[in-house]
Amino acid sequence: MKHFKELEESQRLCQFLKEKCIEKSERLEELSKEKTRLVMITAHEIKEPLAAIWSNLEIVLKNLVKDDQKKRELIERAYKRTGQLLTLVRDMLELTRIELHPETLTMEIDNLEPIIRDVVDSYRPKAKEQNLSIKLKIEENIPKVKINKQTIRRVLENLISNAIKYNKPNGEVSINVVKKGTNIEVSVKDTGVGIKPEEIDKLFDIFFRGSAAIGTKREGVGLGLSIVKRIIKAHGGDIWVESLPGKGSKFTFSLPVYKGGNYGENINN
Amino acid sequence: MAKILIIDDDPDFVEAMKIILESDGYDVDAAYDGDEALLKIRNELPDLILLDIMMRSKSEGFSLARIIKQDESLKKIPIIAVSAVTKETGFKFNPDIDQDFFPVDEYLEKPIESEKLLEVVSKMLHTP
Repeated sequence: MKHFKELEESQRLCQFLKEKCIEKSERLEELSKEKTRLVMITAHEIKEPLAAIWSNLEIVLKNLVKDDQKKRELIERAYKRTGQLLTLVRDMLELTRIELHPETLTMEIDNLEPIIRDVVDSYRPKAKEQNLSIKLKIEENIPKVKINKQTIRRVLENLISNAIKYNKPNGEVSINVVKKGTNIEVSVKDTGVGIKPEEIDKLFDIFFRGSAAIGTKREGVGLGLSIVKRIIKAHGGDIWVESLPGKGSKFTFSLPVYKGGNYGENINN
Repeated sequence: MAKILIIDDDPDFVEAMKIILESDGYDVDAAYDGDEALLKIRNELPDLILLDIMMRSKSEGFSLARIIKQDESLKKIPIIAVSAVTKETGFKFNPDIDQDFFPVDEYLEKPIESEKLLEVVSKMLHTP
């Protein structure tokens, strides 16, 4: 009787493991397809500008224009486009590096405040140009965090420049820094067009460009937020967005408070 | 000389196609999105349209082609579809079977060599 029960038990365990295996392999297959799709989209994102560069150079080489000034203009267009391609390729490399080798980010234990103030100040002229006001509120005694300064700067720059780009005239960008539990939360809020509910889930996907971005001139290919998310994840934090169409969006990221005591302690934690 | 309208949201590509077509004497205008394109098509009645099918909002080119081909006064204008998308996405255009979904007369893959563009344009303008 006892043996029978044991047998039944192990059979159930086998069945459970089998189901788990199937589930995992299906998930892996899905992920692999997703990666392939990404390679395809990347190739297309590269091919489109390459085609334009190719045609511009072809015209010059085959002497289809005679005017020197015009020739120069075509080469300039090709040159500028090559620069954009380089940025795209660099961003792709950065994205994969952060995902595959987060350990390559040099971490320091530091205060967020000076970095935030510095980035915010650097965007004030641009905001003024568009008649936008920037409001910065940092809670007192914000504890230190363990960060890679350069990439956190990039996160802030991306969120603030988006908040300016997608704002309404005479609108507002407000940045708030608070401590919540064991995290520091930084939010960047705008008074812009907002994000459609169906676009919110895809916002951090590679190459996703929301309808608001499509309406603007062709700049950026939709890598900014996916890099931002990977940077924050590599820091052990999280990022999310709340938005009401027509009212604006609020991007918030969290970073874990550095658990060590004074500066210099537990540096390898 | 025949009037050609280029519809593409990539200004560098538009500029290149414009120069190539103008070098053969065509009268060329450009539109950078679907709405602007439709306005120019109705006002200027071009003799041929060069249409990018993968403008930023992905379906814009497709719906534009359908609007043109369903409009009695416009449907005779030949459309050459252009795109950087091809084999790698599994997208292959077959004018015989895809006419309803995507009613265009010819399909060219970017980049388009200048000689090829001029040859196809001339052929389409002279086909009754």
